Amino acid sequence: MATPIPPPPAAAAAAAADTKVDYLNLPCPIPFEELHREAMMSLKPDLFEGMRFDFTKMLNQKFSLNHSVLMGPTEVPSQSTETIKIPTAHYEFGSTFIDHPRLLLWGRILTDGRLNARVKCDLSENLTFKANAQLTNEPHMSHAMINFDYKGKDYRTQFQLGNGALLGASYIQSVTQHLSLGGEVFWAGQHRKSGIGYAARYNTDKSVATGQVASTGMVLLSYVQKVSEKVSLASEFMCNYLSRDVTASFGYDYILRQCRLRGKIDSNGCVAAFLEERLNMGLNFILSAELDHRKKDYKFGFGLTVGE
Amino acid sequence: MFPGMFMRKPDKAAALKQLKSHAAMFGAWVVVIRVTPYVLHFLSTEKEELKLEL
Repeated sequence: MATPIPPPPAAAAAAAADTKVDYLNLPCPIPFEELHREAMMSLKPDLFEGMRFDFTKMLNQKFSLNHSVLMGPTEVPSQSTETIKIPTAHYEFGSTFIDHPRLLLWGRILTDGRLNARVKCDLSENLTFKANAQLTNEPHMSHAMINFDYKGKDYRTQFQLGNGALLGASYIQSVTQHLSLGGEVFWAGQHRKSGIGYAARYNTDKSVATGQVASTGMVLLSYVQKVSEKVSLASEFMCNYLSRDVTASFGYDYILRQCRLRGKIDSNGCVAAFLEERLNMGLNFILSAELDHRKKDYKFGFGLTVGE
Repeated sequence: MFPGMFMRKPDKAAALKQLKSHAAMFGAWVVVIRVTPYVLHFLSTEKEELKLEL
């Protein structure tokens, strides 16, 4: 009778050596501001209310124009707890210039005069400049922010400047193949407030766990698990230990061949779902629903996207 | 309206002192993160040496 030959010890030693971590050659982590990227994708889709129509036209490989129409109720801030909405309609004109990968220019202007603009430019192989601005007709309501991102071998650092004497800096670095640690510090000169924050991220092929705390009282934990090639489950815990606000959210992200379905439920009694279906090449159909049972605020939206 | 808009601004000297404290904490944390891989590398190398001796 034949018996299986035990594996040679050299192979076992080689296998053990393969799992050894090289701490001097760690991967570069993702940017600090995208720490909770996977959870945001599942739990915070672009929900809307009313009718939405987006048309994108590529003029050439680098330049494209965008026309957006949004018609539906808009929530008005009010003194009482009741929700007050008024019917509104917006037209938004946009243009995008992408000289991949060095330069990105993005602009959007609404019929009420509000302008959004973004710039991203690689100043060198490792240094990136970013800027974004929101300009309005109302006095003292315009904002601008610029960023300098530096990408090192196993770390990323960022410096921020904003109007209102806003200053910020952040740093994130890999400490093992799967674990990244980071921190940030910020100063709001107009309000004479400063703060500090700490963050950690642990990611494998199938799951991502993140945590973040700040001296403003913010605590944010998230966990995303990839159940299969098509399904991801996400959970998030957010609380502010100074104001005692607590929210827990659970969501799913279902990617099929022709559509993507995302949904969530949270401890504030809010249930949401978002469906994107590809009807044809360059034609997408969107359904959005958000039911806030505590506030008795129910939002339903449908939309069409033409162009890439 | 928005309570934050009417919050009293802290004293400038106290605010700057707090900012220096936060910046110092941030710098210390960055140093700790920076040193961690080298410490882990040293520990793993030491372990390897011990293993070789065995």
